[in-house]
Amino acid sequence: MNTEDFAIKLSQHRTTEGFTFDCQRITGEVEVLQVEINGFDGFPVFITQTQFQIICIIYLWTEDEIRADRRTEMLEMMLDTSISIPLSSYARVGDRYVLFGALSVSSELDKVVEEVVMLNENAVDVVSAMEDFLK
Amino acid sequence: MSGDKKRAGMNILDKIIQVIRDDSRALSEAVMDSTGNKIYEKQIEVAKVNLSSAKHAISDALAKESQCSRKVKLMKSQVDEHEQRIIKALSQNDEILAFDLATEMVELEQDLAAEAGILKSHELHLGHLTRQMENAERSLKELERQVAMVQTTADIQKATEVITKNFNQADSKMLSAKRSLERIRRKQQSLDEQYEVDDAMVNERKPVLTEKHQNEVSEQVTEDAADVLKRIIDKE
Repeated sequence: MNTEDFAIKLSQHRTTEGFTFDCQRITGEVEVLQVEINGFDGFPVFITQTQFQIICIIYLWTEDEIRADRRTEMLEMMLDTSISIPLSSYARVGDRYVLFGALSVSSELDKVVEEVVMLNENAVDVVSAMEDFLK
Repeated sequence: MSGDKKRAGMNILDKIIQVIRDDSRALSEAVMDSTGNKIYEKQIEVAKVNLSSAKHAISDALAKESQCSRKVKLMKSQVDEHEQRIIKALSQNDEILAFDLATEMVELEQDLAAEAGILKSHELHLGHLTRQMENAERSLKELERQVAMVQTTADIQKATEVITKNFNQADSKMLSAKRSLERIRRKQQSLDEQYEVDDAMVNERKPVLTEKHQNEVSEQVTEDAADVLKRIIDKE
C-alpha cells in the first residue's frame, strides 16, 4: 500500500473508540502523509514509506529548545525510558528529536492505525515527562 | 552473530553517523548516482543474477551426482552378484568358472573404484558450490540490509526536509510538541472549567427538577389509570 492508498483508507476509517483521521498529503522529494486524529488532542503524525518499512513520526523538539544545563539528564532519561514506551522509540533527525514507530511495509491498515493512536498517546506522556528539560 | 558480521554492522553505522555529521546530502549520493539511479540496486541485481546461475550450476551438479550415485550402486550389486556366483562355482568345485568370474570381478572392481572416485569428486564439487552459494546469499542479504539502512536514513532526512519546509510556509509552531502540549492543556483546562460550570448548574436545578418531575409522573399515572378503567368498562 502506498501513501495515497493509506490516505484514502485512513480518511474512511473509524476505530472502535470512535477516532477518525484527517489526512493530508505533503508532496516533495519523498511522499509524506500528515495524519491528525479527530476527537483526540494530540500531535500530527507524519507517515513515510521506505523500501522495507512504514515509518510514523511525531516531531518532539529541536536542539535549540533544550535547556543546555539539563541536556545530558534528558538524553539519559530518553535512553532509560525508551524500552518502556510501547511500539515507539526516540530518534534524532538533523537537529529534531522525534518519537517514531516502524512497521513492516506489508502491514495492514489496522496496524498503522494502532501505531498512529499509540504514538500520539506516547507523545503526550513523553512531552509531559520531559517538559522540564525544555526552555 | 559472527565477528565479521559484527564488524560489518558497526562499519555501516559508523559510516552513516559520519555522513550524517559531515554532510547529510552525501547519504543520498552514497546510494544514488548523478543520474538518480540506485547504484547498489544495480549491484544487488547483478548479484541476484549470479546467484541464479549458481543455483543452475548446483542443480546440474546434483543431477550428475545422483546419476553417478545410481551407477555406483548398480556396479556394487554386480560385484556382489559375481561374488555369490564365485562362491557357488567353488562349492560345485568348478574352479575354471570360479577363476573366469574372478577375472571379470577384478575388472568390475576396478570400474567400481573409478566410478566411486568420480562420485566423490562430484560430492566435493557440489559441497563447494553449495557453500559458495550460501556465502553469496548471506552477502547479498547483508548488502540489502546495509543499503536499506542508508536508504532509510536518507529518506527520513528528505521527509523531514519536506515536512519542515511545508510547516515553515504554514505554521512552524505545529512541529513543537511542547507548544502542542500547552495547547492541549489549555483546551483540557477550559473543558474542565466548562464541566464544573455545567455540574454546578445541574446541582442548582436538581431539587426543582425533582419536584417538577415527580408531579409530572404522578399526573401521568393518574391519566393512565383512568385509561385502564375506561378500557375495562368498555369491554364489559
